[in-house]
Amino acid sequence: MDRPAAGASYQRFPRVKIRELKDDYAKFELRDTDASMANALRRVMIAEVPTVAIDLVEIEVNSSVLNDEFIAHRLGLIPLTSAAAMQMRFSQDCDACDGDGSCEYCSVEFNLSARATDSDQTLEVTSNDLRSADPKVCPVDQARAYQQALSSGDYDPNAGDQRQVILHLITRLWVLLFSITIELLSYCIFVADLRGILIVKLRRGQELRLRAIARKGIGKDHAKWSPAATVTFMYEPDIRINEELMDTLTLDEKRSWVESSPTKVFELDPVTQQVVLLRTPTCYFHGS
Amino acid sequence: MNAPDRYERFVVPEGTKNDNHSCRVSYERDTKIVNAASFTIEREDHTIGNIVRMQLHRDPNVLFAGYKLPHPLQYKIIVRIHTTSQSSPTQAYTQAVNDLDKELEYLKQAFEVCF
Repeated sequence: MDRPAAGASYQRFPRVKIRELKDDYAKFELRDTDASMANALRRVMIAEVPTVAIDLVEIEVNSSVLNDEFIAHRLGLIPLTSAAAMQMRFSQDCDACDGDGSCEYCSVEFNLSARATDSDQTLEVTSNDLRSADPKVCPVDQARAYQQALSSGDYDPNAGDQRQVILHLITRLWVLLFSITIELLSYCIFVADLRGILIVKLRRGQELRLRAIARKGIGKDHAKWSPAATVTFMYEPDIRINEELMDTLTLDEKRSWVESSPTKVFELDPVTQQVVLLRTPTCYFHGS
Repeated sequence: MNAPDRYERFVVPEGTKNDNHSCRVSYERDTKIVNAASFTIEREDHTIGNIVRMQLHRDPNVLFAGYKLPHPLQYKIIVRIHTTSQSSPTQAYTQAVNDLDKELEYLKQAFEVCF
């Protein structure tokens, strides 16, 4: 790029263009900056965006087949809606409490109480059984189920809008122009029948009763706090057809050349009988 | 057994002085080469290091710029800068960090417009 005078700024002016945006998937292009910037965005999205996850579990009764720490570990991995995470404080920074997690500024309390009745059926304890003290923070599939069934809400409709950010960055290296396309891949959360995330299965007579406290954290501390499922970036491919060589092929050969590619990249223009690029190159790699 | 606690990856330890900036970034001049210095940044990793390094490369006064993590379990980076006599490592480093700040601010506004 052009060099300003010494002492002046070497700042770049990146541009962003969104290709696709859904609730849990986004794809965007990033231009006029460096791969290091794209990589830094990727690293921060995975490791340093704060979310809320269960961190302390007090188990009163556990007669299931899984031991206490096993169940606590599984509870920690349940994704919670974290739109409220930005307003919360980290519990190590919170001065309103002494860190035991009963403070409203830095933690959210959950309760779970399940007992298998005396029938022979297995009781599945799922994330739907987790009762939150704060309706804004709840397991993601609970929020989705309520959103789907929502006509008028006891619950805040914004509670289900979790930015589980999955980014796929696509970077194109031009000679003068840096462009980076970022794409979020889709992220399947739950089974189609909305039963919730399975925690443990209970047999007749087994019981599970616990109190869990969710706190704000970042992915660097533990992967349960990472909001991203996958984040990737790639350079946008620069495809150029060698016209001289292409002219040496007959029409049939051109047609078979166009058809030989697994995804439809080229097409044969019937009027000019030239092989041209079908659409922007970044669509080729994800079937989108 | 030797692994440090996970929170040490991002929680800055208490410094000898009372202010927060006491040990986050420290500076060491190189005694053998003119206009050369190392900056040690605590509790940072490749996310910051690579970005600062790439920005330093864009400055024509910088002869050498590189960063390393001395050990994966010690959570700091060392950025080494050599400049020409027209500039100094401190100046190049401050310039790079300020430019990155503005660039990221610009990027943030670009995102906010889009999303």
